[in-house]
Amino acid sequence: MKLSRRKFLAASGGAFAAAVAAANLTSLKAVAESGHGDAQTGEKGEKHIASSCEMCVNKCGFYAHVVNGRIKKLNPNPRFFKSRAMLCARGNAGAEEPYNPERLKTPLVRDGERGSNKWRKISYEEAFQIVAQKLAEAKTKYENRSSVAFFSSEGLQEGSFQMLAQTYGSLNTVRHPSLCLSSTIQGWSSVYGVYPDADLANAMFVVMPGANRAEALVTPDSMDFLRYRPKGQQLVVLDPRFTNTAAKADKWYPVKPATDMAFMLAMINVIINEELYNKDFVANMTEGFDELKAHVQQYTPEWAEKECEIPADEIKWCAREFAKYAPRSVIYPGRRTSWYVDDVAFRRACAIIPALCGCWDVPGGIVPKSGVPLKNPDIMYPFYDMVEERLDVESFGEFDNNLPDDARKEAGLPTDSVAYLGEKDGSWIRFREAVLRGEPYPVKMMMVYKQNFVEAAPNRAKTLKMMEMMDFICMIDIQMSDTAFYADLVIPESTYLERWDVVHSLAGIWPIATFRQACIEPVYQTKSMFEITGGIVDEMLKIPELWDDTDEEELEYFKEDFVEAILHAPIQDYIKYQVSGFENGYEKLLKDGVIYKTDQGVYGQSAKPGYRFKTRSGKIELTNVKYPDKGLDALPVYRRARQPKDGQFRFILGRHGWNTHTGTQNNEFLWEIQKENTLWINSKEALKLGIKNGDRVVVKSSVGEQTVKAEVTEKIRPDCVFYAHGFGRVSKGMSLVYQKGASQAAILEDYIEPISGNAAMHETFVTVSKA
Amino acid sequence: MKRKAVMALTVVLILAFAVATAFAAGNERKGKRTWKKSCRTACHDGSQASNLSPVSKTQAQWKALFDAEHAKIDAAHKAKNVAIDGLQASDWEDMFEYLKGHALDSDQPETCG
Ligand code: HEM
Ligand code: SF4
Repeated sequence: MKLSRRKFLAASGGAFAAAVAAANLTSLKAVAESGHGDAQTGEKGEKHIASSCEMCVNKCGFYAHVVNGRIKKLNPNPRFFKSRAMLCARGNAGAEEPYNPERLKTPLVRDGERGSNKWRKISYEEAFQIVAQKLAEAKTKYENRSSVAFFSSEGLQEGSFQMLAQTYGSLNTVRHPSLCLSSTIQGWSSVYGVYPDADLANAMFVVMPGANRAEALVTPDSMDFLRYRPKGQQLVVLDPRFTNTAAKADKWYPVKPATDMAFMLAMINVIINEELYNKDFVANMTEGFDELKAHVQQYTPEWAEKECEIPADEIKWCAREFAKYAPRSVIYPGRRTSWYVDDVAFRRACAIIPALCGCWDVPGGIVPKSGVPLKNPDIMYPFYDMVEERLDVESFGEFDNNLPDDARKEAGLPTDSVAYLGEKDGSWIRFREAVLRGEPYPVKMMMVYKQNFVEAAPNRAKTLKMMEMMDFICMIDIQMSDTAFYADLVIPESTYLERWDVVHSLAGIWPIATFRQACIEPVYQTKSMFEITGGIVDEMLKIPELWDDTDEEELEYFKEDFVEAILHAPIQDYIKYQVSGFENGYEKLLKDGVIYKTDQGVYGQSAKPGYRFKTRSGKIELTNVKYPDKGLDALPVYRRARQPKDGQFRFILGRHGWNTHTGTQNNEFLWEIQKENTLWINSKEALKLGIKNGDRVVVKSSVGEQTVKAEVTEKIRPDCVFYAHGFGRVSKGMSLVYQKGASQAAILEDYIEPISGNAAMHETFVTVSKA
Repeated sequence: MKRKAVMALTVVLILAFAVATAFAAGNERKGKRTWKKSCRTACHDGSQASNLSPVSKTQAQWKALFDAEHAKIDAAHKAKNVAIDGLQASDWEDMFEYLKGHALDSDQPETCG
C-alpha cells in the first residue's frame, strides 16, 4: 500500500489519539539523578502493562507491575505461549534497567581524546544537528553515501535505525548475523531453502551438537526440553564442555573440537548403508541421494571415531535410534554457530540427516518457521546518484580470507571473498578488513545502533584501529558500551520499559507477534530510536547539500509519504497500521501484549509432494545444486582441521543463562550472580602447568593476552579452555565490569567462514601460564 | 568465485570490473526503485493487482516473464486493459536484475531479526 499521509491515517484510525497524548505528557516527567533512588514521576496508583522483554533476543511477554510510576516487578505474560509463559532471571532483572545509575541519561559529545572518558552534556536537538552536519560533510567530501557505515543489532527499534540508513542512502549496513548465526542459516538453507526450527516439544530423539540450550536461552526450545519434553525423549549432547545442557542430557559426548562433522557424516553413512532412511520421502522430496550415498562411503563410524573421539558403536547407536524415532527425531540447528571456517559444510551435514529420515515439517521434527501476517508500509526512499556498491561484495574482493593453514584452506573454500553475502547484513570481519585498507573506497564515518562490536568482534586491536580511521563515530545505546566509549557522540535511547516499539512477528513453529508500550515515563527524558531518527531526518532536511543528488519531485513525495506520514506521526499510528488486518488488533495488543492467528503449532505446509522448496532445484537438496557454480563442494567434505600443539589450547566460547552477550553485565542484579569470568581449564592440564584453582593466569593468542582467574575443572576437555563473554571491559562507563575478568574479543583471532561470511571464533589457539 | 590467479589483478582493474558488473546487464538498485515505484506501490501491493514481490517467482519464472522484451508481462496486462508506459528498455533490464537477484530461489540468504 502506498502510504500517503491521508491513506496512512485512514488505515490506522484516530481513536487512540487521546491515549497517545496522555502517554506523552511531559509535565509528568521528572528526573531522579540518584540512580536507584526514587524516580518520582508524580504518577499515582497501580497498573499492569503488557509489553515485551529486551534483555535478550527472545522478546518474552510480560506484564509490568507499576506502582506510582515506578516498575515494581515484571511478571510473565500467560498468553505469551512462545516462551511457555516464562520470564527468566535476566528478564526479571530487566526491572533494574531504567534505574541503573550508569545508564546514559543525556547526549554526550566527546571533550578530549577518543576513549579519554571526557564528555560534555548536550541536548538531543544539538546531537541531531551534529549528526546531520557530519552526514552532510561526509557526503560532500567523499561524494559517496556508502562512505558512512551503519552498524546495528536486532531489536524492535532496529527498523527505525534502518530508516535512517536508507534515508541517508548508504548501502553499507552491517548487522550482527555474521558474528553469530549466518553459517547455520546458510548450511540449513543449502538443504531446505530455509533455516528451520527443531520441535523439541514433540521430538523423541534429539542430537544437540554444541548448542547449549539450558544456558543460552532460546524460546520455546529451552523451556521445551527442560520442562515440557515428551516422556521418553532422549537427548544426546556433543560438546567439549560439560555444560548445563550436557548435565540434562541422556548422553554427553565430549567431542574433539572441530571434528563434529565426522560424527554427522558417519551417522549418514550408517543410516544409508543400513537402509534406515525413509525411502518414500527421499524419492519424493529430495535431490541428489545417489551422489550422497557414494560420497559418504568413506566416512565409516570407525573412521569417524579416530577423528572425533566418539566410539564407533555410539555413532551407530545414535544413527539407529535417530531412524527408529523418525520422524520425531532432530539434529538441532543451533544459533551462534560462528565456530569454524567450514561451519557451513558441517551444518549441511547436520541438515541432511533429518531429510534422510523424513523428519520434516511434522510434530517432533525439523519444521520451517511460520510468521504472523503484519502490514508494513512500502517506504520509497529517495534514489541517490552518489552511492557505491557495498564494501564487502565479491566483485571488490582483492585480498585473502583469513583461513587457518590446514586442509580446509587447500580446497573447497573461497579464499578471496564471501560466497553468499547477505546484502543487508554484510560480513563483519571482511567489512572491517576492507575499511582498514581503505579500498576500493574510504569508509570514514560510523553510525552505530546498539552493536557493541568492540567487545563482540574478534581481534579488538583491529577494531580499535578501524575506529581510529574514522572522521566521526556516533553511537546510540542505553549504556556506555565499549563501542560508545570510543565514540565521538553518544545518544541515549530510552530503555525498553520506557518506549513504544513497533510490532514484530516472531517466526517459528508457534508464531506470535509482539510489540512494546511504555510501562513508565522515560526516567531521564530520553527518546526512542524512532524519535531519534525523526529528529535527525528533520535536521538533515534543513541542509540542501544532502539532497542535491536526487530527484526533486521524488524528494517531495518522500517528505509527504515518509517524513510527514510516518516519522512525524505518533509511533502508535504505525503500530495500528501493522495490525490493521486483525479485528481490534491494536486494542488486543494493548491489552494482551501479543497478537496471533493460532496458539497451536503450525506444521505440514511444505511436507506435501510437489511443494516447491526455495532451493535451486525446488527439492530438498542432499546434494546442493548451485554450490558448484561458485566452486564450492556440493556435498559436505570432511577436511581435517589443525589441532593445538603441545602447550597450546583451543579457545572455545559459550554463554551463561544470566548474561546476554556484552549487554547485561553492568546490571546490578545480574552482576550479583557473576562478578567476573574465570578460565575453565582441565585439571590434568592445570596440574602440568602448576595452576591451582583461583590462580591468576595469562591467556595469550597471536593477537592479544588477558589475565584471568583459573577455574580448574573436569568439565572441559584437556585440549581446550573457555571463559564467558562480556568481561574484561574497556569502558569506564560500566564500572562493575571495567577491567574485571577477561575479554574474548581481545584474544580471538579473526578467521572467517567464507561461504556465509560468519566469523570463525573457535579457531584460536592460546597458551596459558601463571601470571 | 575468483581464484588466486585472478587476484593478482591490480586494484584499478578490479575497480573497473566491479563497475562493469554493476552496470552491464542492469542495475539492481535502480531496478528495485523502478519496481517499487512503477509496479509494486502502484498496483502490485495487493491493492489493484496481485500482491507481487521478488520471492513470488523463481529465477526461471522471472526470466520467462521478462524474455522477448517482457512479452508475457505485456500480455498479462493487455488482458486486463492495463497499460504500462514510460519505461525504457534499461528500466526493464534493471528490474529484471533486481527481481532475479531476490527471487524465491535466489542466493540472498535469510537473515535474523
Ligand atoms: C513494470 C511494472 C509491472 C510489472 C513488472 C508487473 C508484472 C506483472 C506480472 C509478472 C504479472 C503476471 C502475474 C502472474 O503471472 O502471477 C502481472 C499481472 C497483472 N498486473 Fe502487473 N506489473 C507491473 C505494473 C502493473 C500496474 C501499474 C498495474 C495496475 C495499473 C498492474 C496490474 C496488473 C494486473 C491487473 C494483472 C493481472 C492479474 C494479477 O496478477 O493481479 N501491473 N503484472
Ligand atoms: S529469555 Fe529471558 S532475557 Fe530473553 S527475552 Fe525472555 S525473559 Fe527476556
